[in-house]
Amino acid sequence: MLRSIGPNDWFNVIVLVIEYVLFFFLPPRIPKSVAALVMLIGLALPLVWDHSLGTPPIDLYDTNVYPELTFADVLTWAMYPPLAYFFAYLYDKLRIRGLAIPAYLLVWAVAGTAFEAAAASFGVFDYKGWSLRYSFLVYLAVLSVTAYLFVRLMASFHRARKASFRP
Amino acid sequence: MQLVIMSAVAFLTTFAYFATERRLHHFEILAAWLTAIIINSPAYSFFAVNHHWVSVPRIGEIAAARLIYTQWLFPLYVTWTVGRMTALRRPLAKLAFFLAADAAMIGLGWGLHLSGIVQFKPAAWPYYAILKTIVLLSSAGAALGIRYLMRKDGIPDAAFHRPE
Repeated sequence: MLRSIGPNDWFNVIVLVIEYVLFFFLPPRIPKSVAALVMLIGLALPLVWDHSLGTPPIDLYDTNVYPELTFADVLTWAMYPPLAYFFAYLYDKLRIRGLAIPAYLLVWAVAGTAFEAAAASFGVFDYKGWSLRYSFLVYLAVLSVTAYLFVRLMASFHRARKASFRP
Repeated sequence: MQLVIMSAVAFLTTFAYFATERRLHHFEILAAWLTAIIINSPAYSFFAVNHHWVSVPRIGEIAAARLIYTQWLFPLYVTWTVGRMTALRRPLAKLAFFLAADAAMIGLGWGLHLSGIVQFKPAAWPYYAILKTIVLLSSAGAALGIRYLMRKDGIPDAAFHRPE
């Protein structure tokens, strides 16, 4: 069924364009295999939330105006992987260690919540019992898992590379 | 009761998997696992909300049991299957194993239906079978794709096979 283009669609498209332009113009830093996995993590974790809490029988929110899956939802999902990549990219570039880790997670969780508030104001999310306060906690949890996996993946990658250069 | 059984199965299966898995590199495990989630999760919404082909009773325990199955046990099963399939050398053996694993996945869906965790309408079954085939193929493709990227990153083939 064709539906008219709403503000949520424009929000999705504009954010997608900005994200992917930035993604393709950033100088490569993370190994391709690790970057691909980080992007898969960045897509899978939100999908787990969206399709656990946002669908019946729990059904706490709708995405992109309608309860049904629409093409606009695919656009929304496409926003997640580059964000996970930027998160890992900056984590690596800024050499986040020690006490900087919780500070970095907090900054990203606040930014994520603010981004979601903007998306909700454009109709990308429609809460039916959900609240941005819970989103903040979800972002903290998801970002912590992503950071942990990223660090483990990078360590594993460097170990494998080192082993391959041994005589 | 469904939640207790599902949790116990999830715990024991996970333990068994990580105690025995020697075929895939953990990059490949993660790729196959995440791909299964990425395809399966929206498909559930498509089945449940767009077409009303499946429904889950509004009982917290049963909803939790379904989540354990869809978000943990099912990706685990797919990843296990991909690992086993990768280890087979002959194409016919691969195909036979793939078909058997696919049929078993549909059987698991039937088990969910019988146990009352998910209620399928008859119209759902052909699409459910197609979906499970797509998930399995995509996860196998993701594992191969990540192996390709690892090679491009300079990790040699020896890293992919941990000793038995």
